[in-house]
This record gives sequence, C-alpha cells and structure tokens, in this order.
Amino acid sequence: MLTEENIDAKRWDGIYKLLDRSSLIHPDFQPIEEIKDFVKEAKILVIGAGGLGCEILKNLALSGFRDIHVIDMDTIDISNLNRQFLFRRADVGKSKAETAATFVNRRVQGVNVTPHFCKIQDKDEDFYSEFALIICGLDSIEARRWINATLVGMADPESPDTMKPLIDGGTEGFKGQARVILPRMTSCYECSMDMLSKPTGFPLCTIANTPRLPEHCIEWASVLEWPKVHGDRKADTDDPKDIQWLYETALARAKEFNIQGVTYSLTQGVVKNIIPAIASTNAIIAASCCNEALKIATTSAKYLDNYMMYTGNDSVYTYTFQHQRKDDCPVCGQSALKLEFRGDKTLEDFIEYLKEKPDAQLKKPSVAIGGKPLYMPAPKQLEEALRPNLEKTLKELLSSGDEITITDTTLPFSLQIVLTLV
Amino acid sequence: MDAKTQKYDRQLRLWGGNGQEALESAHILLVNASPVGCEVLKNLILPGIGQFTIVDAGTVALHDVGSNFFFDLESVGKSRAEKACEFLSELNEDAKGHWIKNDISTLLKEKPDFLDQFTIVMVSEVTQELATKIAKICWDHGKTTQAKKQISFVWVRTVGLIGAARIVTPEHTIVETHPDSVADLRIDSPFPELDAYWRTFDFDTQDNLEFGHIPYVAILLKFMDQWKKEHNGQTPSTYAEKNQLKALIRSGMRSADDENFEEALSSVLRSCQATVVPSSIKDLFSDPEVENLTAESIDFWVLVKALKEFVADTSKSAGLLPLSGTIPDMKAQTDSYVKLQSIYKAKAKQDAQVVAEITGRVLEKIGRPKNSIAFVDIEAFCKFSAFLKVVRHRSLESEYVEPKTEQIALHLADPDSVFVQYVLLRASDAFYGDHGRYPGENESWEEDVEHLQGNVATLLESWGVDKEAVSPERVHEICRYGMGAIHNIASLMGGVVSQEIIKVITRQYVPMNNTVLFDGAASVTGVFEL
Amino acid sequence: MINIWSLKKANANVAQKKPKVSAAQIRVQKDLSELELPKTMKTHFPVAEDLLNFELEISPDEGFYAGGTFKFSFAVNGNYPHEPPKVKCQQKIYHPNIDNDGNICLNILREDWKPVLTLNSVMVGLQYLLLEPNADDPLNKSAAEDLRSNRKNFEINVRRSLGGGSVSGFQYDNVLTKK
Repeated sequence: MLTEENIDAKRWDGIYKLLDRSSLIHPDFQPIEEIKDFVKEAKILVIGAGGLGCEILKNLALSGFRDIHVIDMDTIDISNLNRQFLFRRADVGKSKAETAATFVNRRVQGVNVTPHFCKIQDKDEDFYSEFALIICGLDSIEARRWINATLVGMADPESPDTMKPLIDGGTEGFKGQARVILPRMTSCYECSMDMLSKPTGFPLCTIANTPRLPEHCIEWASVLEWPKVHGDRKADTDDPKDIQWLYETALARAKEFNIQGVTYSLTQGVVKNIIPAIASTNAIIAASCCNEALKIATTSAKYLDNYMMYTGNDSVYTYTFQHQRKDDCPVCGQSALKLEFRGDKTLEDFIEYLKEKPDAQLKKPSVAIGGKPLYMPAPKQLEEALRPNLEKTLKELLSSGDEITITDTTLPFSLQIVLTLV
Repeated sequence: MDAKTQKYDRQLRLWGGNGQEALESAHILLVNASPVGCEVLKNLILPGIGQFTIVDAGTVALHDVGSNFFFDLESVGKSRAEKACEFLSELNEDAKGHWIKNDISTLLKEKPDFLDQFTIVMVSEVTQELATKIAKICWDHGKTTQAKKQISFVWVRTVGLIGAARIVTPEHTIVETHPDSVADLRIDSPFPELDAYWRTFDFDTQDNLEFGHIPYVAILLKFMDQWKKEHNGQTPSTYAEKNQLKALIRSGMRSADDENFEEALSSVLRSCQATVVPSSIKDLFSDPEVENLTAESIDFWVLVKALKEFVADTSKSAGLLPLSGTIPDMKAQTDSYVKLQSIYKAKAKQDAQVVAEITGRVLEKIGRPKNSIAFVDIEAFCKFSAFLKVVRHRSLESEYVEPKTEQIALHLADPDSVFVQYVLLRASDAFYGDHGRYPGENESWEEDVEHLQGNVATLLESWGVDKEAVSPERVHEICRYGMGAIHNIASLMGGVVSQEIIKVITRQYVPMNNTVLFDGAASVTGVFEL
Repeated sequence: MINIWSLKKANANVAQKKPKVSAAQIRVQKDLSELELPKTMKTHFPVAEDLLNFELEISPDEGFYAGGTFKFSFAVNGNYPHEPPKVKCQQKIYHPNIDNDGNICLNILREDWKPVLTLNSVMVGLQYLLLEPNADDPLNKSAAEDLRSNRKNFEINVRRSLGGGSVSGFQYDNVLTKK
C-alpha cells in the first residue's frame, strides 16, 4: 500500500531531490523536513489570472504549494484564449480568478486555489499580511505601483515577518522581464519607473491639424471627435460598436487627408493600447517568477538578485543584473519614523516641533493623512482653507497610530510618521 | 472581425496572417510526453499549430503527475501518449492531435519514412544515442529532398534546475527579420524625384508656419546639397565635418526651437553614413546556393540572385539595394508629408518592378515559369532586402565528431558562463553509456559524483581543455538534481523552445544558433554555436 | 528567506491599518506645497481634502490676454507622475492653441511630459501660452491664421472674445476679470 507520504515522495521526486540533498554550491542550504512542510503550508498570493497568472497558478501547484490565492477583477475575453490556457470558449464572460482556480483545483489534486474576484485595492493590509510571498502577473502599471507601495509600506525592518517578497513579471511580444523585490532591501518597482517606455501621446496640434499617420487619425477620432459627439459618455473600448464608430470616423479623416493604413485592428490597438502577447513568452516569464518563488521559499538555491530581461526577437538573449535602489525613490526611499506626541497639543505645536527637531530640520512642512491634507504651507488658497486646523489638537485631527505623510523641500521625497498620541 | 481573428488578435500583431498560415499548416512530432515536451506543445497548440503527434510507449507514473500539467492522479497507469494528447487537445479546437503508443525506435523500424510528414521533430527524455539517430534522419531528409521539405530537429531536456535545447535546421532563410526600423532615406545619394522634392521648399520666403513644418528630410537634403557643392561632391565623413554640417543646418534656423530643424540635427550622423549594400547581404550574393541555382532552389535564393543582378546593374540601382519605401514620422504638414511618402513609395515600387523583371529572367533560365514568384512576395523581399538572414545549424553528428574545441576552451575560460552545464550534460550522457542510468538517480546519489567527475575529465581531455575547468562542486550539484524533472524549469524551457519553433515555422524573427542553456540557480541563459 | 520567516505561522492579530497613501498622492502633496505662484495665478480647491482635482486661475497682466481671468481644471490620476495631469480650459476662449472644447496644445501635457516635471511646470507652461500664443502649432486654426496674418486684427478679435463677443461666428465666454 502506498501511504500519502510515499505518494508525495514519488510525485514530487524532482523537487524533493532538490530539497532532500545538500549542495556544495549553496552551502548554506540545510535539507531539513520542515522545508517541505513549509511549501505545503505557506500561503502564496498570485495577483492577476491572465496570461502570466494562468501559468503562475499551474507552476505553483506543480511546485508543491497547496495554499494558493489568486486575485483578479477581470472577466474572460475571447482574445485571451490564445494564451490563457485555463479558459475555454464557453468560459467567455466568467471571472478569470474563479475559472482559473476551479481548473487548477480539478487538475492538480491536493492543491487549494482560493479565488478573489475583485480589485487588489479592495483588500487591506490584513489580507496581504497573511501571505508568505506574492507573485504579480499584471499588465497595469498603476496596479503594480499600488501593490509595490502597499508591500513596501507594510515592511517593518524590525519585524521580519512583515517583509513580503514580491516577484513581478511582465511581457511584451517576444520580450519580458522577471524580478525579485524584497521590500526595503532591494530596489522596488517605483525605483525602476524610469526604465518604462513613456506612454505615447501625439501632439494635440498634429492630431487636430497636420495628421500624417493612421494613428493620428485614430487619436483624432477618440480624443477630439468622440467627446464632441458623445458628450460625457466615455468610449467603451470593449464594445465593438464604439470601436466601429472610432474606426469609421478615423477612416473618414484618413481619406480626407490621403493617409493610408487605418484598419479596425489598428484602431483597436491604438485606443486600447494593446500589447502583443503570446503563450511562449508568458511561459518563460511566469516560470522564471515561480522558480524564484520556490528558491526563496526553500532556500534550496540562491535567488535572483534581482532583475532578468529576456529577448527572443533575435536569437535568445537574457540580461541578468542587479537593479540599484534609488535613494530618492518616492516609495522605498522615503524615511519612516515612529513618534510619540501629546494628543492635547495642537497641529501647530507639532509642526513647530518638526521644524526644531535636530534630525529633521524641516522648513515648511506639509502634513497629510491618507492622502488628505491637514496643513499645506502653499498654495495660498489651500493654506487659508486648512489654517483652522493649526489651532486644533492632534486628538481632534487623528487617532493614535495613524500614519501621516510629511513633505518638505529639505526631504528627498517624503517622510512617513506613525504617530502615537500620549 | 471574425471569431478566429479575435481569438488570435494578440499574436497576429506579431507575425501577421502569413505567419499564422504557416503555423496552421505545420505538424510537429513530440517523442516522449515529458514535462518540457508537453509544455512546448501547449505553447504551440494555443496559437493554433495545425497538427501535433505524440509518440510514447510509456505509462503515466506518479512523478509524471507531479511535473506535468497534462496528467492528473487518475492518469496513473494509462498511456502517456494518449493522456497527454487528450488534455492538450482541450486547449484549442483548431489544433488536431494524434498519439501513438509505441517506442520511436520500433516505429522507425516499421515505418522508415515516418518522420517525413512532420515540419518539426522534437525529442526529449531520449538518450544521446537515440537523439543522434533521429537527428540524422531529419538531416539526411533535408539533404536528399528539396530544401523546402526540410525537417527541423529539436532536442530539449531539463535536469533539476538546468535546461538545454539544441535545434538543427540545415538551412533557414528569413525575409521578415523584424528589424526596429526599415527606413532608408538616401540623404547622401538622393534619387532625382527626391532631389526635386526639397527644391520645392523656398526656405527664404515661407512664413513661419510653413517654415516650421518643412519636413526634416528636405532640410537635410538642402543642406547636404549645399555642403556637397562646397566640398567637391563629397559627403561629410569625419566627426569635424559632420559638425560643420550641423552648424550649417543650425545657421538656417529662424528660432532656437524649430522642432523640424531639431529633428534634422539629430539625424545628421545617421544620414552622413554612406548608403551601401551591407556586408551580410554581399555575403549572400556569393553564397554557393546563388552560384548553383537550379529549378529545385527555393524562392529565397532565386530572389537573392535577382537582387545581386539588380545591384550590379548600376544604371538602375546606382549599386544600391532596392528602396524600402518606408519613412519615419516627422514634423510636417499633411500634404508635404504625404507627398514625400509617395515619392519614396513610388521609387520602392519602381525598384521592385525592376527586381521582378530580373527575377522573371532568372526563373526562366533555371527552367521555371517566369511569373512563378508573386509580385507581392518580391515587393516584401525588396522592402526587407537589407535585413535578409540565413541561419545554418551544424548537424548534431558534427557537434560530436568535430567539436569546436577553440570556442569551447574560450567558453570554459569564463567562470560565469553557463556553458559548464553543457559539459555536465554531456558527461551525464557518457555516465549513462557506462552505467545504463543517469548520475544521482538513486538514493546513494553522492557515490556517483566521483564517476561523473571521471566522465567530465575524459570529455575535457578529448577537447584538449584544462581538466580543472569544471569544479567538483558543480559535478556534485548535477548529481544532486539526479535527473529530476522540476516543472518550473520544464515550463521555462517549454517557453524558450516554443518561441524558437514559432520563429522557424513562421520564418519570421531570428532563431538561435544552435544550443540554448538555462541555469535556474543563476537565472541566466546562454546561446552557443556547437 | 525562510530564515527570516523562521518557519513560524504569521501572527494572526495584526493591528488594523489604514490604506496606504499612493506615491501619486504624496507626489501631488509635495508638488502643491512647493508651488511658487506669481500673483497672476491662483489655485482653487472645490474640496480641500481632495488634492487630485482642482482649478487654476490665470489673470495675465500683460500680452494679448491681459484683463481676462482664465480657468483651467486639473485632474491628476493614480499614475502621476508617470502620466501627466489632465488639464482643460473651463471657458470657451479664442486662442490659437486652445480649441473651443477646452483642449490645450501644450507639449508638456502630452508628447513631452516627463516625470521630473511638476504641477508648477505645467502652470508656468499655461501662463506662457497666454502670454505668447504660438501660431505655428495651432489647435484653433483660424485664430492662428489671424495671429500670423494680422497681429492687430488678432488683438481686436481677442479683445472682443474676452468680453463675450463672437469671432468668425462663434460666441466666446465673457472672461473679463471681475473687479
């Protein structure tokens, strides 16, 4: 009779060899039983159940992880089917997270994938703090910035449990990148924002008066002509009727100016900012992310420090390097401070204190909480509106334990203070 | 937009309708339903490969279930070929799957021409001996039949955190290499229509609006013309001379921020580079395939021959390649831009027509109908003629019989090179030859280290390379892996290899030559021509 | 990393924390508190707690547009400063680089935007556009044509438009500064 352990040992033969055997290349690795238990028990979060997400879920399940969560707000579209292999034609319109979870749970017995059909912003720090590590397969810069900032914000160097490794992947055509972010230890997503190609935008006057490319005609239709005709209703780029209108409008303009090349497909590409995507590249990047996840979780080999770029257009080329932290990074470069202050003192007292505090030496600090300003020295109108707050006590304005954001010309970016009222 | 176009939208933006058509006509064979083999198939079935066939005599074991997504616990004991085919077929109703529960060696004995039906033959979980045998069948097939019926051979494997793939395509020709830009502006040697174009702009009398919209190509042409007149018809060649041209252009600006002049200035260096036939294309002109053109030659070589004659006929080509006919966007009024664009396009068309005439003559000479290559294909060939590419892989046999020892020594001299993994895989093959099993497969894995060390030493010696070139720690590490299959590595290699196969099938982009290695511990890859 | 986690299960009782401020919000806070606006420019915050949506008033004291007060809406999104703020002119004005729908042709609002630029740079750019309308990159073609062909006539048209008059059959908003 095969016991469960026996089955496990045979089933995970490849990985267990790695975990049961010592290494001379990675001498720090200790092949102890607890590591295998950790893989079985660790909660792993996958953000995105799209092209990368489907691959990541499969890879994690086949790495022996059993408690996997996936979060995605999207539903399945027909154009996903050329790479998002957990979905079928009959699934179009259903939740990506739920469909993917059901599929993986059925195929890989023993794994438990929990879907979350919502936005990442709908979850709070309590939710994110439950996970051992987080893998991101997103196509949105904004969502990446959000999760990065959230995880960096949660990381408290004095409490190692709060550091959640973030593994991030991205692809475009035959190219992609995978990276490991250890919040506050390595460069973060925000540190590398300057590596992103800037969003394309054509000069408005070109679009309006001197179009030359088919793209100019399409932008004219969507930026200038659409609001004129449809008022406040935004174009729904998933609605073929709206795309058809934009296409026809752009085509008419192109005809007028003797410009060739406006097609339905190009119209869709420009207005939806479509990035070409194929199964192969998603497989490479997702596998690289999960390979790092397994290495980090088990310490069985050294992990990526900290960035790998892959290019398949011309032969196969990878560039693996250490992306440097930016000292003035708005997210991980900002200082964090814990302070105690008397709750019956006024905001003005607190600001005076910040100005006099020898290790701060701020000049004209602005103070905000959760994105809402408490006091701003400029601009004038805002200063006047917020001035009454100066007289109020801290107790009236905030609760003990709140995190406030200070900016000042003397700071590289900002200062976060967790304020305890006494 | 029809349902199929919608489904494939994100990939059609890469390889277009012709690439898709090639993919849909392809048939791939997978020998052994290994994790990496099935991952490659997954990534080819999803974008719509025409057919796939899996040959595997084995049944599903527990370790297959833990490393291959296309088996589940209920598959244990069933045919690997059948089960993998079933689960893979679910991915795309457009791809037709076949399976054969048989051993490839037996199959080849029964049907010696079994491989002839495939575009790609991919093997994994095979011994070096079997891989070499199958590679040779594919290679010989390409040599004995028309080159258009070549079979590409792929050997892919993973061992623990290591992945490796070898591709053998005797000859792979590419027209659509997808360079970043195909713009070819001819500022240094304008053709008559282009020369006439810039003269239509009166730089002195135009009002500021018009002046600010003179296309930078016209600006460059005007000042290049002036510079050439002052320098005996020569274009600027030295750095100092190029700066003089820049100064000349700058002197023509009306305000410091004329964007069109800025565009012209930033293109000066590129524009001063003489338009010539690139050496890589000259090499193609003297290729034996061009010298020995026959009725069996593929269209590519017929067109290279025509291209060569076009360039040689300086009265028509000025000794240059056909014009691409593509220009970048630039600050300009719509009319003057469209006019400029049409001048380049017309010249490109004219060049392509000349090439088409020559092609007709070349075809007739080799006994083919003179219109047997479509004009659209000739046009595309001309458009990308500066970027044509031919990749020729060495046979697997010659990799073993005539090793490139000098290059191997160089690779091994680099302590960070992933090449060491190749040595370890080759030594593992030798170990298999000695013991009938791979190193580290058993519980007493560390006992294999010494044996394998011996295999490594023998191999290095045969290449005349320092025996110390591979450290004992690395030999120990591959024994640690013990031939184990780790899904992440299989999936990664499945991605890499499927990209390469797509490039081979679509004849777009440039495939690697000829071995790619991945080290999952260091997260690095390397490509080596072996 | 496993050592960092020390194989312990995460402590379930983590204190409830407020959502984090985004990098975009902090950056806007910084940009705004460091604004150095001349007397000719004023900001207006309909909701003082919302720093991401506000108005800017520019009352040029020289040039064609002196005597008028021009309102621009600013909307900053979560991708700031990777993406520029969205700025529109709130009134219908006769200007070569602003169309009748309030779209503005200013390079740093589109093709030349860089994350190192600030809200201050945009505001200065807008003021410059009012001082020095650019006839060579027009959005309102006829206004640009007027400016190019006959500055005097253009000036008269601007004057008329500022008071709510019409030019070429199009009626503009009265934007004269209220004393």
